[in-house]
Amino acid sequence: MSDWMDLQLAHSLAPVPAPAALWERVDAALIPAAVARPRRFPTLRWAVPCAAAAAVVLLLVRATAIELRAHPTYASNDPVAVEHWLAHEAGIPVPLRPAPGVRITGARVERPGVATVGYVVDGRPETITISRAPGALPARPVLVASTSSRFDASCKLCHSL
Amino acid sequence: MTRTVPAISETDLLAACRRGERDAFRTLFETYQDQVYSIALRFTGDPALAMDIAQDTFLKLFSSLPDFRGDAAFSTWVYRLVVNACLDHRRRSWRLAPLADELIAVLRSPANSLEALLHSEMRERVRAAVETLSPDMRMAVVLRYTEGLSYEEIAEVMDCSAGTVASRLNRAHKALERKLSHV
Repeated sequence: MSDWMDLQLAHSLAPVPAPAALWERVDAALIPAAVARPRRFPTLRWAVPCAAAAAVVLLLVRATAIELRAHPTYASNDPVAVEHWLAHEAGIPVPLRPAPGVRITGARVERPGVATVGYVVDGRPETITISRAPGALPARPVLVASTSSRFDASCKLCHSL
Repeated sequence: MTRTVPAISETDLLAACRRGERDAFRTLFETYQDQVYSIALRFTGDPALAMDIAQDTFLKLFSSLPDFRGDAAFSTWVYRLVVNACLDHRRRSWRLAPLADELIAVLRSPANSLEALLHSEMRERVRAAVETLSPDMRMAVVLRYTEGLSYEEIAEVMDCSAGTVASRLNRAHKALERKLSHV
């Protein structure tokens, strides 16, 4: 690296003063949006996302509440307690009873006069849907549907076989 | 590379800029205007393009002040902005043949002389040779000879090792010596 080259580069590439017009151009282009202004309300930029998130949560909570109100649910392994609850909430007199190999988990009202009883048999959660027989005197539930292929287990919920 | 600003500390000045105080912007501009413009001019060789680059650099600087976390010296951050602006401009546009503005200025000046003309021509030849270097080599040369930065400072600005800077400068010198050997 020669001293001559160093000297030539230093002379040729020497710094120069910026033209006065540069500030005029920069100043003119300093529109408010480009300038880093302090945020008077820094939380405002989070307001919209937070409000949207809160609205979503509110809708979910409300939907859940409506769901719970529309479909009252009761969790219990006690057949007697579930029976009483169904009679009170759904108006269905179901004579539930303890049965070997079958464990009741609870019940849910689907709509007036129709409910689902949950139970576990062979380690698998199953349900039966029961309905109050229309016009029956006295009202007696009938089995509408069962998710289990073990019909005997469904029957055992109410009958001794 | 840390520069001190008279009457007000750099920290206070940056805080005032963040609050949007126009006078603080002006002070900050005046502190760095010559460095920014010089780098842009020496890199591009074109005064009009250098003005564009300097303007873009300051607008970027003012708008992104909140992003400056103080990890490096503020002057290093400014250098990075102008270096990136130069490289971006180079990528976006290719300039026309450089104008011999300085040569014209010398010819028009009342105090022109043969010696001044010869010196001016030599500077133009050197600059023209510098402009043929690759962008990375050219920027290393500009930061070294226009701003007088050390290898370590150039490395920090260009985000590379000091060894890489030394290599680029060495190759730049060899290339320039070849190009200017006939002078």
